[in-house]
Amino acid sequence: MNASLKWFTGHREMLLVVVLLVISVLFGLLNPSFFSAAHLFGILRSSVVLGIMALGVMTVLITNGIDISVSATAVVAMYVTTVTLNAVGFHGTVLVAILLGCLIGAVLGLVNGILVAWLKLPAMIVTIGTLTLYRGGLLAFVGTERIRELPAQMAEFGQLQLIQVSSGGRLASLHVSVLVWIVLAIGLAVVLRDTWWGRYLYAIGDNQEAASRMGVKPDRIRISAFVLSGTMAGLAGIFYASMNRAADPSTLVGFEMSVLAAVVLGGANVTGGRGTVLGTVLGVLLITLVGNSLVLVGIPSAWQQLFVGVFLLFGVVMPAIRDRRNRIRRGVVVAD
Amino acid sequence: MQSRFGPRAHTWSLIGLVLGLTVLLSALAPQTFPTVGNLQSMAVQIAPLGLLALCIAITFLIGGIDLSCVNVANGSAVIAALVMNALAPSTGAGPATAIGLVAALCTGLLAGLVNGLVIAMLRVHPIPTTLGTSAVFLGIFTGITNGSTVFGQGTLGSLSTSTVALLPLSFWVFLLAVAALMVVTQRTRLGFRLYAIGESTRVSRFARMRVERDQVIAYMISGLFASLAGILLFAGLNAANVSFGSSYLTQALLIAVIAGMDPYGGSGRVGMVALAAIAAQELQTGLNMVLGGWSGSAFASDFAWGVLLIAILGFSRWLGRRTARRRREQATAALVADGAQGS
Repeated sequence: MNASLKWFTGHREMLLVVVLLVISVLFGLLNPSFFSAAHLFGILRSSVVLGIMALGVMTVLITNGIDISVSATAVVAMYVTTVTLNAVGFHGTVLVAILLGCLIGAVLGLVNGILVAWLKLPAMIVTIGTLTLYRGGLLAFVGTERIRELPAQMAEFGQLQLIQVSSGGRLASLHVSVLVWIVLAIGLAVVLRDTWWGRYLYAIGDNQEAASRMGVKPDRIRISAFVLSGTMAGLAGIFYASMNRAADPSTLVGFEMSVLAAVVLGGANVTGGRGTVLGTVLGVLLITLVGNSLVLVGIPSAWQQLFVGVFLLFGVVMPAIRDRRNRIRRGVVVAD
Repeated sequence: MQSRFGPRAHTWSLIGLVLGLTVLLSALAPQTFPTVGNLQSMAVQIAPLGLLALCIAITFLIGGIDLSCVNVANGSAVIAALVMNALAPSTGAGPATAIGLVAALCTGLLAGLVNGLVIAMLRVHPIPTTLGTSAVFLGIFTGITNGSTVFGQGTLGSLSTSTVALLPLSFWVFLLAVAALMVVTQRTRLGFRLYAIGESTRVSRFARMRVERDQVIAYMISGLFASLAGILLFAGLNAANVSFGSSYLTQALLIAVIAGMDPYGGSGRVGMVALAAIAAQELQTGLNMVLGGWSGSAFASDFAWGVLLIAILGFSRWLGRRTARRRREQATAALVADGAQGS
């Protein structure tokens, strides 16, 4: 029993798969409509925004940083893009909107990265500052109104479905952004595993001193991780606006908590050097699955926030318990 | 070999900042700023914010951070409101208020205990821990209130309306809290140990200090002050909601940083928080005056808080680097002088 428990704590992805399956079966027994194609597609659809942001935040977490400002970055990217494209009366392809959103996100991420690298302070404090700054700046200087008239191509993109299945008289559809998410996840996994840049991320997160003696430039790598995180957040923002058919500058408040919960649950450690794409994706799925299904099994949605918190705390505490056990076994617990 | 920007210089520059802002704002708005009414309403606003900054300050002191303080404050306010509303019909307003206050303070202490235990016993880093407990507290109180606002009985209104020696009662609560924390950190053994832990947890452990216990105490103090801030917020608005004051965390961090608390622990004096909070509130009032009736003024001041936080972090970083370089140069010069004498 104890041995299998230990194996599970060491293999986060396996544990998450098991938890996902158990929860699915439980919810399915409580309410059979859980297993309808509409609900499952709905879960995937609502995972996308969280999932894309989580990929970026995980990259930052690997380098021993943290990015709290992703929700504000996403909102700024989405709103500024919408306002700009509407102002110039743009009717071309949606790719321009996506590129513009990514660019805005990348710039905001670059600001975060430079500040963190330059101030040499916990990224937490810096990104709390930029979170307030970005959102306050957007609401004060760009606008507070919810825009319902998206650029035509963005609105169309929001309706672009990958698969449509009719189930129980209703049309269940899978949005195309799910495919984008999967491609991005696979791409990031390959990059993290097979490129110098990916290995450097883990190196500076695990031991910055050793990495910099090896010739890695920690600041540059760290800034690039923040840029990636901002870019992903910008992309997620555009997807969010398209799928909700509106750009609202005061949405996604507190969304960064869910993102962090998903990433930490997926096994990325806030002390750096750890984290896998598969774990993050599973964490995102778990959080969305529980969040979307609570209402189905009769729990008021007001309690959804509590589950996010419990998952986040669980993801933080579990590796700490394992580390502590290891330290005690090695006999260094007194000093460290 | 005193640093140019030592503690005394810092105290004087903060006092100078407060006085300078006072003079500047009085000159800009001689009719509205230096009036008793305006200063009193500023004092009412400083109190909860200053208490939250104390939460950050005491946890910065031991090299930690309490990101859950705003949610604990709101949660305590919710608990106070709920308890008072539940008891008022049966026990009358007076006892109900008293029990509500005790319940709120207990909520804060309990939250601090949870934070402290997880951080000290499991040795999890305080940033993720308090982020996690913060989300849990938010979830619990959102669930209890269903996300809606709880209105009170109006029995605490006197905290922000009645004055003692021209200062509102809530401001006295803040001043007392600062004074108590100053005494604890500067004059007691506990305070000495807190500085030692902030300087180096490892060395403190080797010195056979009971680091875990002191860390828990620090987080419980933080929780207590957070619940006090919640009570003051509740008293001022006669309403409690889990999502009040979302920009308070940035402002509290800013105040703690202006007050000279080192996020990495071991240095800074909590008394400076009072001055820093006054300066921050003056800045806020000044911003409101400049922005005037502009509809986006609340958001613009959020923006300004973010800019200020980063600018001041950058400034202190630059100062720190300069001081370190000076020290190095002086040390080198002294070594060279020694060498010259020796030969």
